[in-house]
Amino acid sequence: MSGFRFESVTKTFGNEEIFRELSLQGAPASFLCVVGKSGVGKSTFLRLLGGFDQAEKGTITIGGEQVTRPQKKCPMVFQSYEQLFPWLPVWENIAFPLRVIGVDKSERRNRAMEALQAVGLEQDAKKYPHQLSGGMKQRVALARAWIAEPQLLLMDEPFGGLDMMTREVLQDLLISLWREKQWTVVFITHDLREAARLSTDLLILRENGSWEMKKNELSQPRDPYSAELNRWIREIEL
Amino acid sequence: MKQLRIKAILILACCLIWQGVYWTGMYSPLIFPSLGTIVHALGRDFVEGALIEQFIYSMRLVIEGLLLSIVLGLGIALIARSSSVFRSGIDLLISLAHPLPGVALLPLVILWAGIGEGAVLFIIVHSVLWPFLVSLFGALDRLPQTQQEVADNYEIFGWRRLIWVDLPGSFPGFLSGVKIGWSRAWRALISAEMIFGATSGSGGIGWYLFQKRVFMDTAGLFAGLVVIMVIGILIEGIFFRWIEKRTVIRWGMER
Ligand SMILES: Nc1ncnc2c1ncn2[C@@H]1O[C@H](COP(=O)(O)OP(=O)(O)OP(=O)(O)O)[C@@H](O)[C@H]1O
Ligand SMILES: [Mg+2]
Repeated sequence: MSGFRFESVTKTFGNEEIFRELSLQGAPASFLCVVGKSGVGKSTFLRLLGGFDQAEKGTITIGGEQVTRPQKKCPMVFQSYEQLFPWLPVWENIAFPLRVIGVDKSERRNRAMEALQAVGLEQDAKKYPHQLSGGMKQRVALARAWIAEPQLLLMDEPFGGLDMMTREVLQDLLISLWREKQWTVVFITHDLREAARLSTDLLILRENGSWEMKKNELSQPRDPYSAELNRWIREIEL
Repeated sequence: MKQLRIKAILILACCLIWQGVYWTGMYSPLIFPSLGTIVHALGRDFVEGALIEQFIYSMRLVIEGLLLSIVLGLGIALIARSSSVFRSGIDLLISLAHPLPGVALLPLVILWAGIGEGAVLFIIVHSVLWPFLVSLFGALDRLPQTQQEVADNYEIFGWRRLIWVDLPGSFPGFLSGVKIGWSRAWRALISAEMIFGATSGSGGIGWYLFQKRVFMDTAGLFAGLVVIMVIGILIEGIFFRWIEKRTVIRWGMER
């Protein structure tokens, strides 16, 4: 439910400029999709917002407060498959944020089982992460980020390793959760159709530090294969 | 199972070679006893209780020393995680103390602490703590970055971070540190016992061995060595294996 804001943020790695004077605003309960070619700086953008990395210039705020470090109200789903804790069974991985805030074990288990059911993994609650496929691990990471009532949800290509079917099911799930819980979401994707379907706003990152913001006012519900959506996608230049 | 069978066959072969050498009569039975006399000595000292008593005494000291070292090591690791000055101090201390054999410290320990159990514990902790810390720090320094960021994300710090994330994440290193520590403790203890002798009625396995030499009971000496080897196999092959099956192997973390 918290909005966020970038004010003339400049980020460089060595002498490579990732963003120059990036300023933008995400309204509370908006859904921002970030697209751009590989290596253009999408993960870097998300890491700055999440407080995992610092910019050289400019300020980043969430709900009016400056971001200085990662916070549990802004959980991140990382791009890496290594984000689960290998020593915890799947359900305890999902319940980890609840354990941190002191929720007792039986309630943790109940809520983890609900979340597992939502992502279609109720059979795998007792398995360990190394027994799961890449896509299954990613779904566990999603459930973990969703479980503790986030204010701002940060997701780095969360559906990257999934087949079309699972992907569309999870997109539907994400849209309905987002509507119901009024989360603010920032979502990185390679897939423009996915961005068109999910977003309220689109951020296009380009080489040499330039960027463009675009509104997505496609009508709801969005059929991913409609002519209207195809037209919208065709207008986007990466 | 197959491996176990191969090992059994190898051990049997060694026994046969031993007995074969004995039969050639190359060495005096006084210094090269037959298998039969060794087994007999083993049985005799077991029944008399001498071996068991010494064994229990030694085991208790090793376990105390090992636990003490682990607790100390974890405390040091916790402080070192939050203070880089402390960490560099400990790194310096490790590089100074690690190469120093425990036995080399004995004269000093005797001067300072006398020859009681405290002195033995001191030697054990010295032998265990440094290699344990090297192993633990090595693993803590190589924790996967994304998992650390997840822990930052959920804002867990201090001892909860150590117990919930950092220690399980470095468990393979922790366990190999304990394993090294165990064998170092056992060695240090036996040397210390040989030198200190019986301080409180029991002198431990080391003292037992030493006495066997004094009384020229070679079969008894070998019986003591057999006990030490068997303990080694039981702890390494069964106890630590059991722990690994329940931890790093179950978690898919073995290296
Ligand atoms: N820690 C770092 N140190 C130096 N350079 C970095 C670092 N992290 C990222 N970069 C560089 O910054 C650029 C952007 O990386 P980033 O990971 O944000 O790309 P991305 O858009 O997420 O790519 P992909 O779609 O492949 O995930 C890349 O050129 C990368 O080499
Ligand atoms: Mg990326």
